[in-house]
Amino acid sequence: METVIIDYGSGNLRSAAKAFERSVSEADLDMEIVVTRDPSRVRHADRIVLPGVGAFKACKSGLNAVRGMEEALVDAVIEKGRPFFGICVGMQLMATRGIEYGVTEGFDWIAGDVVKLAPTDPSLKIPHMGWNELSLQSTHPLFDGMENGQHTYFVHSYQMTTANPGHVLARVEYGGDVTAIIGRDNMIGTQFHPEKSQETGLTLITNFLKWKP
Amino acid sequence: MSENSRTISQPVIETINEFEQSDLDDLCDAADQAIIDGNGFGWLTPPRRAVQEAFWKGVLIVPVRELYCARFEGRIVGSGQLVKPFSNNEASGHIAQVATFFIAPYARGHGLAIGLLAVIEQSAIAQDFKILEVDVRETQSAAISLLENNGYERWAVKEKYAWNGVKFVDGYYYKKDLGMVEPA
Repeated sequence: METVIIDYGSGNLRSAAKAFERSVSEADLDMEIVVTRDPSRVRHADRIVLPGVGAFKACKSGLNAVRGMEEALVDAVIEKGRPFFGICVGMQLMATRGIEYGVTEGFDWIAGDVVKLAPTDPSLKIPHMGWNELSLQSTHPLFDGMENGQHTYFVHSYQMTTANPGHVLARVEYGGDVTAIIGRDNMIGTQFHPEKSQETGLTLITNFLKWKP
Repeated sequence: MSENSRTISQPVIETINEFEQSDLDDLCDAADQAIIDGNGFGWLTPPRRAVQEAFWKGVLIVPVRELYCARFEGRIVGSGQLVKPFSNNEASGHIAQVATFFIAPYARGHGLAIGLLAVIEQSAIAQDFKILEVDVRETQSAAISLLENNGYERWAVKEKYAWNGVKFVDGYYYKKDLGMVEPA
């Protein structure tokens, strides 16, 4: 069994890889965590993780620069239904479009736009940075062992707005509702960083590694 | 223990004399978050990873600098330096400084900053320094609280100490008489 973390030049992946490796170890799973920029490895992976930090446009450009990567992702996630986990901008790329430095096309796996945060309270700073309480909107299998109000770590200036409210699996409050987790079918994405979210993040990662959608 | 419970590793403060690549990755990650949070020891935005790696590797080769790191859950989440005077500075040879002191926002609330500061102080005492100095931006409220709750006296304010990307902010200068600290 192999879980791949896609390396397309968007920040340090070691942190994410370590968190996934720790979950594998603690849950005693027979699974290898591989950081790769090889589309053929992504195409044949059992599970796929797409991290991302920075701007939507830059991340999409970085992904496009890896020849065959987006096609491999579509083949694995959409055609073969492999479990997919997008983290931060990796989650945002699941959207239809990113509205940041112009309009950039996303994967359009979950209909919606990625737009700038606009907290109603002007004293709230952007980026939204730090710990915030999750408000779970569903009973998704990935939430096994999690409760409303658990804290996760955010650092972002943009958020995803979905066309179908049912695709929002968790929110946080930051001068209004902010999308924290999205998902449908075999895919899930977190705006927060599970690899930096200590206990709650590790629980979510472990549940993803065990998930059979 | 439930299926989802796990043992949490205790926080650790340690000296860094050389970097494993994974530790350097973690340190750069932590520093990136601290910089975004406005605690960037000079940087306003996170530098390219290669630039930051060169910075930390450079710290290790400067003879008057000691690098300490805070580890949480096995990963480096913050750091601080004890900066000693050069050997020609006999007049001020009793004064050392704390520099590049930060805990990543995602690792705050576990007492790491207090522990890190205490370890740096103990190293200074062991090397017979009498005074420890540190300066911070006026906006670094957590650091200011830490210092003022740990016996540091603000002895000066410097106007236009730093540019935060929007405006100039003042700097607060603190000192601590290490004679007041119990040796470990």
